[in-house]
Amino acid sequence: MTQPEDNFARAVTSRTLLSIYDTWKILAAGRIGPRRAEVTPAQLRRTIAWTFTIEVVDGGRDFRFGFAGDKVMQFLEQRCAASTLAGMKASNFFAGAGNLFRHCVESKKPLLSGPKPASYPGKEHLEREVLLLPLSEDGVHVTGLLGAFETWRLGTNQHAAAPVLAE
Amino acid sequence: MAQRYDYLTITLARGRQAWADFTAAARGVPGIIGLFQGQLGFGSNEAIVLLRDAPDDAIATLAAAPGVVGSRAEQLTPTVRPADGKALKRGGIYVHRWFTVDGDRTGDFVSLSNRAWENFEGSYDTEIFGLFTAALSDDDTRDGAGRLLLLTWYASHGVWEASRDQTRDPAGLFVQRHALTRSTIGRSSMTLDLGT
Repeated sequence: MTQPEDNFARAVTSRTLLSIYDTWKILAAGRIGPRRAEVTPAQLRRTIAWTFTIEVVDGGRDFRFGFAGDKVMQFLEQRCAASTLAGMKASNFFAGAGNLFRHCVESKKPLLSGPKPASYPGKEHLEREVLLLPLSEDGVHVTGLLGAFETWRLGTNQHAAAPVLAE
Repeated sequence: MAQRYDYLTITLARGRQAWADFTAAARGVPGIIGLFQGQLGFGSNEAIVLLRDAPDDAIATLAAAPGVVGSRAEQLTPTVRPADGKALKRGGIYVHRWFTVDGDRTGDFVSLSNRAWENFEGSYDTEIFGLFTAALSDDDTRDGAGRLLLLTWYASHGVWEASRDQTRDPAGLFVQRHALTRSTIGRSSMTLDLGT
């Protein structure tokens, strides 16, 4: 598990997300993030269902949806109508997701959002926590994101007002 | 005589257009039985092509297709599976698991695998497509190693995760197989429909 001095890890509510963060830290080994191909099913074992991947397009001007685990698909209830975030612009939920994606790409650091009420239509009775972790093919730019999220019934956890970045 | 398989790892240029260009070009190449897009463990710009009894120029054609910036080919020989003419399933995921084993124990590895699958496939929503030996590379010869590719269909990543319990049963055949294994890595993928 993460070292006690890791304040970012202490901010994570979900044990599943914390486990994914631990795995990412090991794979990153001090880099901005691991290459996407380094994140294998075995490394995410027991947490795959909560994870997703995003490809950064044009340095963060757009984002392409990649892998989505079973829990992610259950939450969304259907495949996204478009393959990129730009195609989902009309949705407040995806607009908010885009802001978080960009924040993570620009900062080049892990980002945690929530727990806070879910804004996805039909899921307003839930609260969610989202973890975004940089992936980098060149060690310089964030070229992808490993994401994870967990939900609870609304009111289960204390809510966080703003996203948290790793130090 | 065993059918010949080729496993081609294609590196594409960044962006969706490269995927579209490559997929379009692949449609015209005979011998392709599977085009895979990575899920976990592959780069977002990697495509895997599995060919069976393809014409001699098929690999060169794919390597030179639009959108391709790099390629690596492995010649494969089927072992106890797949049966001749076996087709890939649609939906679900395929896990591509490469094993490096002691070269002189390859036969034992195949035998243990074949015995282990009977119970494995009955326990989970999964199907072994094939276990192949790879043509020896210079490194394999130097290291006295053999490499094998196991290509397995699972209904989902959840099924794959659940099936790991059986592979770790200390009394099971998979653990005996693991004892023959120098290294292994598994990556998951989806099949893309070429419309052929």
